[in-house]
Amino acid sequence: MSDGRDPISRRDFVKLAGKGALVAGAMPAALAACGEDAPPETVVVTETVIEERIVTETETVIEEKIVEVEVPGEAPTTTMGMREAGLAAENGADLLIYAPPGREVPTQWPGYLGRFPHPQFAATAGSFASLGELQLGAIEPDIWNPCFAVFDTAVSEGLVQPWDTSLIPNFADLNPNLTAATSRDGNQYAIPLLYGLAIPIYRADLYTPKENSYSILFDEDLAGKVTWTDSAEWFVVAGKLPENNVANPLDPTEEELDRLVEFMKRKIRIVPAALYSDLATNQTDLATGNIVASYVAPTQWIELTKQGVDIAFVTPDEGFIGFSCGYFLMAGADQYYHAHEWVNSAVSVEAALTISNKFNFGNSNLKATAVDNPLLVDVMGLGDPAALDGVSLLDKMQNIDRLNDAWIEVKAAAGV
Amino acid sequence: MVSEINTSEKTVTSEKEGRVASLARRRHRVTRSLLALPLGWLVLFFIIPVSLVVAYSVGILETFTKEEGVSLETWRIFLTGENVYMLLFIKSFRMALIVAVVVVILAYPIAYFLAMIADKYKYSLLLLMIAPFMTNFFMRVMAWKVLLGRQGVLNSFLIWSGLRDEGNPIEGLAFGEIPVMIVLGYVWIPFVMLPMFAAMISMDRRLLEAAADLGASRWRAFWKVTFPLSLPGVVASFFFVFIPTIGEFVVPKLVGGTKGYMFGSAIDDLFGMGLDWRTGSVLSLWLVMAVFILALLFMRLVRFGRLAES
Repeated sequence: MSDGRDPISRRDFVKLAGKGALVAGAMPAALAACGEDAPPETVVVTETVIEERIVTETETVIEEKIVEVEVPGEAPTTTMGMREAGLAAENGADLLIYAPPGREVPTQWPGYLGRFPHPQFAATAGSFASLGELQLGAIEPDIWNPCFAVFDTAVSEGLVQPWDTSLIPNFADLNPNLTAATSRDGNQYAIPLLYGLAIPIYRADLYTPKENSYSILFDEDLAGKVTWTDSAEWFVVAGKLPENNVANPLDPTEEELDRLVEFMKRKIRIVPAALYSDLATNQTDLATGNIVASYVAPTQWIELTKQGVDIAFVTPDEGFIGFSCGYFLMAGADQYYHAHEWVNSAVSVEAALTISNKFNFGNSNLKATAVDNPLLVDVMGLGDPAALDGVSLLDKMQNIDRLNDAWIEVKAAAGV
Repeated sequence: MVSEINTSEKTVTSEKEGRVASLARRRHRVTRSLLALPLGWLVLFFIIPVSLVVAYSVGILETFTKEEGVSLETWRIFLTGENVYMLLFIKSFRMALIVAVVVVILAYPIAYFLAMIADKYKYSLLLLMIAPFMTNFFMRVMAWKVLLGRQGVLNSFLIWSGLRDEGNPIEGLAFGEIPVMIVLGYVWIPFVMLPMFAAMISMDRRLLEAAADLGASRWRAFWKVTFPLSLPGVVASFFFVFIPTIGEFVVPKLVGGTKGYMFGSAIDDLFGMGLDWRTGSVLSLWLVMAVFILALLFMRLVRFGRLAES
């Protein structure tokens, strides 16, 4: 592009088109405020028009022009106008959502299908693996659905852009603790969908905890009978123990992390089995008594309780650790307005109930409390905006790459 | 007259030479074009990717902005044993060596039987040997978990037969180094058998007859004729097992537990959850180099063995 004009991306164009429509929408209101009514039959709308000018055989320049056009009917109102114009300018069929398998089921985004073309889905293989793929540009989705331990890295690396919450009416109903944990500098970088508490559970008929603490998971009396998850969040768990004296377990200093690594290297030896990622096996092991204590999401406690297994959980004096997952808007999203529409439907009351009923997770929508399982409402504090007060949300973990490296070293040391 | 004859002879000779030269050129072109495809493949899918991995290992390419620029620091930390990965490599090397040797020893008599004794049934039996491997790999590995688990078939049998007390099963069968090696051995045996079977089946049987005619016993004939001739198949089989085993990460994930963690598991984790492509690249390159050096050593050994034999 040698003529000094910067080409604009399709997303910028759509945004500009929206802004044009916004100005147009605001005009009748301003006129009305001045006592002058806008003409009812037609409205003058300023639009940003895109023009492609061919420079060479392979190069085109995209020029933007503000033009005034008369359109029949009423002018769009502010946000609505921006939204409608934006939606019209996009091809919704190209909306690509990069999410865990299963998210493509339309009951998790009701109200979207029918109004817009069916979006496309690509399956992630875990939050960190997908972060790597996105960073390398292996896939370029509009929306990404990880758990928010990756929040700090995704935002710092500029992979994601803030959502425009005015385009997400359901945002007002979301748990404020979760939305606060996923915003930075006043920008809402993620829309939370679900959350869970990481709870230490144990077979009450086989073990009595010495204290109400995450320390049961490090109890040497249970050597060979404990399972852990395969995740760097163990530094947060260990960091919460008073004996490790870590000021902020979500962001330990180098010296604190070194101490935690040594602690974990000692303690991982009490874990015989795989650092599980397979919930079903872990559940079976707990049911049969092969495993006596484990670190799980409430899902498993609920399932085991339903099966009649004598299982209990500790409410740690250190306070719970929690996690949340949801949606990022990618920095290069082409389907900006469709992405907002889709995510609005994905955090609606109906969708949130599906998440809780089908997967036993807490949902982010405070109005979605009519879930089938009353245990879930009690344990997760569904509908209570203060339910997550005092919970260490993993969304706030800093420099996760450093913790992940340390975690892999702990695992490697256990294998040597 | 004489000079005319000489001239015409020279013409004939130069025509002949020209034809030979043209044939040679054509052959050369054919050879080059035949080589182009595999060489291109090698460059595209080996040389370029390995170069990229080298670039990642020293920071010429970076995945995340937090990384520290171009340096050999990650190599230094690994090679000086400041982190745990060199120890993990040694452990994985040992495990891979044990698995490869045991599997080759177990598979050799089977290959020998099929190639030398089974006669007309050899291909039917070979098919039978491979039949279990037409089932899904994951299922076969999970089946071992059922067999070796605390309440698995083996422990249940031992308790039922009174060899172990109730509630006192053999620990460490479900997770750890031993189950990883058992499962890997089980997985590799039929594949390992094939190169050895191929080497034996293509052997000239007249050599064995000649050995017998010259008074060699069957054992001596095997040791002096069959075994040396099957050695390339043995070496190929060994590497067939050793190379994938040393970098293995799937089986350790399924049956390894915390103690069965291997070098390949660390590479998998560093590229995946760790997002530490630099350390992952260092470990990957080290693995490639180690296997390459080992392969060279073996090749020299085999050639040296052949020379000594001759």
